[in-house]
Amino acid sequence: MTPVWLIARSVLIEAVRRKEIYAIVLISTLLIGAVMTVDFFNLEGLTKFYREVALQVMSAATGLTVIVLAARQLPREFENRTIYPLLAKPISRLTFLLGKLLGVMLAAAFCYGLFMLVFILGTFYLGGEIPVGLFLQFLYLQMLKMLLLAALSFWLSMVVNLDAAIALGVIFFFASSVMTNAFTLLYPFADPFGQGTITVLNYALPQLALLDLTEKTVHSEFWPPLNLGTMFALTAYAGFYILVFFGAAWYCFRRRPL
Amino acid sequence: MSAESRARIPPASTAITLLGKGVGIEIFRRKEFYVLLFLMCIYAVGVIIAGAVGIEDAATFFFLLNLGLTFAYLSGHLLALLTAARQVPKELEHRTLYPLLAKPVTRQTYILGKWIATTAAGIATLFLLALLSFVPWLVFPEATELSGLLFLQMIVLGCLSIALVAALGLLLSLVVPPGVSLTVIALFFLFWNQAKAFLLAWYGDGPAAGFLGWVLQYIPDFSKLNLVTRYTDGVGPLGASEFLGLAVYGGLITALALLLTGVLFERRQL
Amino acid sequence: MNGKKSSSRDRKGLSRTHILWALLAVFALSPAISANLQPSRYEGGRVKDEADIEARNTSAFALILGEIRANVSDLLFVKTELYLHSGVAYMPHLDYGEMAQTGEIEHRPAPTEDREPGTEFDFERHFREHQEEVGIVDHDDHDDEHAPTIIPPARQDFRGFIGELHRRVKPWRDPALAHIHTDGRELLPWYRLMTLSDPHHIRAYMIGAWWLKAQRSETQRKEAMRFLDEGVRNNPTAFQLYLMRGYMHNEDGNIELARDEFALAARHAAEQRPSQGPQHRDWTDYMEDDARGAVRMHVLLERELRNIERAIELSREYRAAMGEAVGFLNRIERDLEAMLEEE
Repeated sequence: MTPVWLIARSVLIEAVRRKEIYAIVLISTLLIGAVMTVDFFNLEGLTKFYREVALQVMSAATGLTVIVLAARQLPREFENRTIYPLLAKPISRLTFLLGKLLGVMLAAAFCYGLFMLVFILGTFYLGGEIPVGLFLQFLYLQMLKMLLLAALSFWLSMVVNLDAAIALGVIFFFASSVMTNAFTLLYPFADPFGQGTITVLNYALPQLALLDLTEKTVHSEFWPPLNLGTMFALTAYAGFYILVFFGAAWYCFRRRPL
Repeated sequence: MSAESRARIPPASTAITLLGKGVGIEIFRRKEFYVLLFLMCIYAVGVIIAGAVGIEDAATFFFLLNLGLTFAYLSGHLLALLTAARQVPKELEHRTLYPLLAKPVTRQTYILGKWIATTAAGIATLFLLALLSFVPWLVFPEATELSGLLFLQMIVLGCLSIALVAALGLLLSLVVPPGVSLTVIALFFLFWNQAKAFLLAWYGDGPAAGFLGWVLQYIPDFSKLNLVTRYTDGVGPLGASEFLGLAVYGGLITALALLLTGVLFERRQL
Repeated sequence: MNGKKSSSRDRKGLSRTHILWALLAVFALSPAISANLQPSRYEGGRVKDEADIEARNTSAFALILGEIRANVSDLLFVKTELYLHSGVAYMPHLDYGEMAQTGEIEHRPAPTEDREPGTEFDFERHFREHQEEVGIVDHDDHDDEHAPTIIPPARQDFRGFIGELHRRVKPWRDPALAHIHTDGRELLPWYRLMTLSDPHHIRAYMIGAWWLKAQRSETQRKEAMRFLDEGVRNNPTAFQLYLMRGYMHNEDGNIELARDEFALAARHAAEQRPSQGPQHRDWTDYMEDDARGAVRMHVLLERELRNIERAIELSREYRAAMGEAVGFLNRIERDLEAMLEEE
């Protein structure tokens, strides 16, 4: 087994053993279940509402899990002094960081997998259909988003303390769509300097809204899956920021004295 | 307790002040307060942008004021809850509780000190952020319609609500892990009012509806103490009896939670 | 010494226990009072004011915030816009007052101008018109087809490839093209949740009932009536809900039941209507229109039940109470008097 995989496996095992993921999935499932039990006027096939609530709850829960899990990986290794024996072995810091990232992503995938099971069962129970193409694209983009969040959280946890890293990650996660809207709507009102600033920010900051297919998946009867070119462009867009944040995290981690 | 040992016990107020200081230092050290302040600054920047874009009408102004005050209200509660829920578990985990209680500080004083300190931190956050919420006044001076008396009532009940959340945070942290107590109280704080309405609507016509309605009243309903929307809605202040009733409601549950915490902590094997 | 110590501890313990028991006793009885403490239940207020809801949710700030809202009314405003446009986020342009009153998705007539409130015409016409809009229909004849989208088209977007990706990922349609409208069926759960969480949201009951009726099935028709019944139970003075129940009974041919509902609607409307009518901040054009409809229907159904004298009496009462607002009663009254003479 490669060192990356070994480290990733330890992250995953720890995440699964701590039962936090189960608790998150359970609470979210209870919330979704409570929504499903409400009788909506004896109407059948009202799946949009279910899809919207379920997907939003699942995305938010997984996003929060990834931020918390990723942000605490490195500080805790330092705090518990478990990083020293690890790095004493012939493992580079890049390998260590890659292993951690892979582990966090495996935990996210595990969490999302449990959610998807609940979602698919719920959809069939309600007599609805799953728009397979769009849904698979939705899942893929969600994973890209989680990867971006994990890389960002790694970097934040290297430059600020744990609480602040989690708080900033959460703020970014929830405020990202507001930011995208703000760029579009404020631009016409801004003076030339303001417009220049908005343009720079538009390209400099990652916009998570671009990796969120929830709305199309909810209203799937009107929207076909995205074409391959768009998917490729989105992958490249997310990949760029993932590399930037991961690179920044690696740089800070390398410079950190043990 | 002998007269000699009683003489060595510092006054409760001194112990409470010391405990309060500890909690305050922790809040600043963990930078939670700064994160909230940072959020409020984002809000203030937003309001300045709104000034540049132009707040078209009174409705938008009150909408922004409502968002700002709601945010201040939530932040105050969140800080009190976060701090209260991890006080005892953290001291137990780090074993800092033992030397503290080995000193002549009674367990009751310890709980009281922690409660006062966490409540004060929450109230300070509420005050500061509520003050920042009034930044819109600078760009849209339409606030003259708002009721000053209702504002006072909102603040007083808001403080009581924070005291209640802190007491419940301390109480639950003695019986369940901090994460669970945080989640449970946060969920009740945010959704209990709606959940209660759901339950009553479901069983509203059933034979046990009256009984159910009565029983559900035992679960603290924080929304009763939240007057933010009433305030920004331009509705008049509460009548004296209703306001007093609400104050007693909040005070009663807080006192009960605090007493129960004291009893549980007293009986706890350390 | 030991005895003293233990008795002092007992006293201390006893007093704390006493306090605890006393508080528990008070707490046990507290629901009797706490159930009646409802500071969030009040008449009026900006949160439910139709004009205010529209104003704040169409503001630039609300558009930036997307679906982030502090109250359910506003969230539903956003959801309605999205669901009725198959997820495409347009600048808000639906008319919620009209929706509550007639079930129509959009199209804004001036409610009190050139429009006789009343019987078959109101109900049937609006219902037919609503049906035209139910289902997936391309509309080419609306005045507001060119409502801009929140995500701008490429020609107006400074964001380059990011804007292009945004348009592809989110439900988006060129604003120059006709809107795709869906029916309100998928919105019904939101209205159900809304009335469960706020049983005093009269407009949610009204729009929900319209969309239930629009499903054109007997089950949903009964559900619509049950929904209205629940609304009336929770809001016994909401005259619009009696009015809607009256229309439904009238359509079912239950004239006496309909008359009773219209009577209640008209009575509450006459009591609540401020003397300035729609000039008053809390009395909208739609309320005025509904109040006039209730009065008219009450008088006309008494006529239909051959209670001519009662109809004339009512007409006079309503004219005295509401003045010019129910000026149309003059003509009805003349017809009634003629009928009475013929008899």
